[in-house]
Order: sequence, then structure tokens, then C-alpha cells
Amino acid sequence: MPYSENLKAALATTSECLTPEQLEALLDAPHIHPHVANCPRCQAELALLKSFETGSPLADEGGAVAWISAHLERRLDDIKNPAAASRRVSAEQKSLLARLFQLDGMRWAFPAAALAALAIASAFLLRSERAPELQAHLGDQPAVYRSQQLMTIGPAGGLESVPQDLRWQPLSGAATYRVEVMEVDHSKLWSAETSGTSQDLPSSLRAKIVPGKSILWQVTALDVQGRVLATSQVQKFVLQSGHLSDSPAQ
Amino acid sequence: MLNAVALGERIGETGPGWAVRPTAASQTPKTPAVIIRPMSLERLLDEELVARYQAVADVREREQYVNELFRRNYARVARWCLRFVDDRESAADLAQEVFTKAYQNLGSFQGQSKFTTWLFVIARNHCLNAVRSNAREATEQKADDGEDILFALADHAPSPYSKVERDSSAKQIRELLNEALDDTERLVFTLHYGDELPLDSITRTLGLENQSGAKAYIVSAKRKLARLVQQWKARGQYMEFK
Repeated sequence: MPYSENLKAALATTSECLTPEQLEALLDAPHIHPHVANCPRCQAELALLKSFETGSPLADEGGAVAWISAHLERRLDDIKNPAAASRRVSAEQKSLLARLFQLDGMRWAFPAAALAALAIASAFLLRSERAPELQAHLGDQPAVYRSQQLMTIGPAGGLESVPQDLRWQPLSGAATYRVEVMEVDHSKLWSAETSGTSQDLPSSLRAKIVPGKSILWQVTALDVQGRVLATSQVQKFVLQSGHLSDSPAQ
Repeated sequence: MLNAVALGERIGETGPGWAVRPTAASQTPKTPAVIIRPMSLERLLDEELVARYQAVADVREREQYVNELFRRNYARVARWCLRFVDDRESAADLAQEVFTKAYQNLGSFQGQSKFTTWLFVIARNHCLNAVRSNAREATEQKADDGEDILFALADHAPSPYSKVERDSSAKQIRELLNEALDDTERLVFTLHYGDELPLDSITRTLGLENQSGAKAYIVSAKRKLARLVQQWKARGQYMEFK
């Protein structure tokens, strides 16, 4: 049996463990239950239940809780009928094309007119002698890594020194950018919000960037109402061996 | 599924932990519909709202009860989901799925626990499964797979042929945890290695406020466990399974 499975078995629920109803009764109990006192599993379940029952929002999540509550209220009908919601979304995606190409009545006239206009424009462009202009050469600008909409600039790949900041291309309509720095398992190391297109890294984070350790980062563009406009691809960089972090470990 | 509790119907979750399963009582016929006198829904307990939802035949009236019930618990479930994913869009999706499952199984709620405890079982199982699934997809390599502590406990790896050995090994590991670790270290250790919950989620779920969160507790737990294993070995208290 692999060691991890062995440990997991020791931490799993046993036939002696308490049910949620029994744990519920212990939430306000003045003394600890004899089984719970010796059972890591029941202690963990009791802690989770307490967190669910009595937890108040953390300092930075009050706004998010309100936003999610409003989202749930808007989606109450979908919650009750997820199959219909799924069909509706699918139908909405198809409806534009379907409406355009329905041939009953006079609806065909609009797509036909659009297609005709498109054909004329294409013919005009093809007959034009002028070649399309090329964009200016980027010269020695840093490499740009493309995502679906939001493009990061750097850092990425192997680095010779600890980066000072994260940089990305501006996105039209973005009011703020949320930057997240993660370990390779995507657990968050640090995050910040800025209205600019770069974010300095604090010394406490830079101290954690040590040679050979891969670091991930991602930026999300938000509009003025805090809605997500686009999210970049996850970028990865690593300080190459032999280059030391510039700050002492915290 | 271990020690499932009879709170209603099974909700299709997999993995360790609790699930909700059918009971004999759930097969009994519903009481006849009763006339509900108009009263403020706010005055009803959660469990009373569910009872009325189950008893009333009129669809519109039923929906009023469930709407009130869910609205009361939006923030609770939102908070819970945020602890697991830490971005509000993903948390909103998770929360919506939790309420969908709750709605689909509401008819089987028996009132043997508080409604919030029943909802907790659904939210707990759903979020743990989701976060484990995401972690497996995203992980290139585990940042902290605990191999060192697992090796420290390696002498407990039992023969695959003996249930007695397995049970004894598990019991002794639990004794090690109880003796070596303080309450918070044991909680963090159990959630991380027992439930595969990422350290970041544990930090938020337990409201840990130290700078490095759950990671610091794992580090100290591993150090203490290794030390205790050595002490037990020196005293001949350490049972080896060959």
C-alpha cells in the first residue's frame, strides 16, 4: 500500500466516527466528546462544520460574498431547473444563426442583403492594387505572449535575476487588473490589484523566488463594475540555478 | 462511503467523507397538504420552511418557501465556496451547483438535523470534490507532497493481506498525531493529507492569520512527528509491521 494511502486511511472516517447530526450537537457543548478528543477526523469535521455555521467573512471577502449572493438570486430559476437553463443557453447560442437563416416570411432578405454587401466589399478589396499595410516592426521590444485577449509581457521562462515587477499589455475597457502569483500547484502566494499595466513585486514575495523554483502568475482585467473582461494565460518563470534571490528568506 | 448519515437521499458525491442517503422514513407517504395561513416567512425556522415546502401541493406557495430558505443561506454558502477557490466567479459557480443539489434533494430532508447541517454536508462534499479535481488537473508537481513525513511513517506500511495490521497501523498513526501535534496542527494535517485540501483553502477555511498560513503548521507538524517517531523507536513503543 503506498504511504500516502496508508496515511489517508488513518485519517479517514471510521465506523466509530460521529455523524453530522451528532457533531451538530457538539457545536455548543461545554466539554469535548471522548471520541472526538482522540479522533483527528472528527476534530476536522467539527472544525469545518463550525466554519460553515458561524464563519464570518474574512477581511477581504465581504464584497465577493455580496456579489455571489446577488448572482445566486439572479440564477434562482436556473438553480431550480438546471436542465432548462442549459437548454436555454444552448438555444441562445444557436438563435442568432438560426434567426439569420430562417427562410419563412421576409426574414431571408436581411441575411441575403448582408451577404451581398459582404460579397461586394470583398470584390472591391480584391481588385484594389494597394497591398495592406504591415504593422511597424517591434524592434527590440520584449517578447509578447498572447492569450485570448489579455497579453502578458513578462517575466517568463528562465531568468538570471529576481524580477522586480510583472508587466502586461493594456486591455481596452479595463479599469483595474488583478494579478496573482502562484506556486506550481496553483496555490496563491500573493495577489494585488492595480490600475496600471505593471505591478511591482514586494520584497517578501521576491525573497521566495529562489533558484530552481517555478513561479506562476496570471493577470485578470476587470471593468469599472468589477466584472472580468479577460484573463491572461498562466505564465511561468524560474530563477536559473546559480543566481541568488536578492533578499534574505523571511 | 464511510459512516454516511441518514439525512435524506444520496446526492451523487464520490470520495471520502459523508454522503446523504435514503432512509426508511423517506419512503413514508407525505402528510396531506395543509392550509397555510398567511404569515411572515421571516418568522419561520429553516426546518419549518422545508416542512411546508414538502407538505404544500401548490407550486407557487412551495417556491416561496424555498426562495426564502435559499436566500437566508446565500451568504453562508458563498463564504464557504470562496474559501475553496478564492475567485468570485468560480465560487459563484460552485455555490450555484451546491444550491442545485440542495433543491434536487430537498424533498428527502427529514429534519433529523438542522437544515444548515444538511446543507453543509452537500457543500462540503461538492467543494472538496471540485477542489481536488482542479488540483489534479492543474498540478505539474505537488509543491509539498509530504513525502518526508510519509517516509517517517513508512514503518507503518502494513502488509496488504492483513486487515488487522492495517487497522493497527491506522490506530497508531492517529495516536502519533494526537500525542505530537497541537489542535491546529492536527486539523491542518488532517485536511491536507486526509482530504487533499490545498494549503491556501485550509488557511481561509480555518481563518489562520499567521503570515504563511497553513504551510507553517504543516512544517511544524512534520518536525514534531519525526521527533516523536524517533522517541517511540528508542522506547520500543513503535510497532513495526512486516
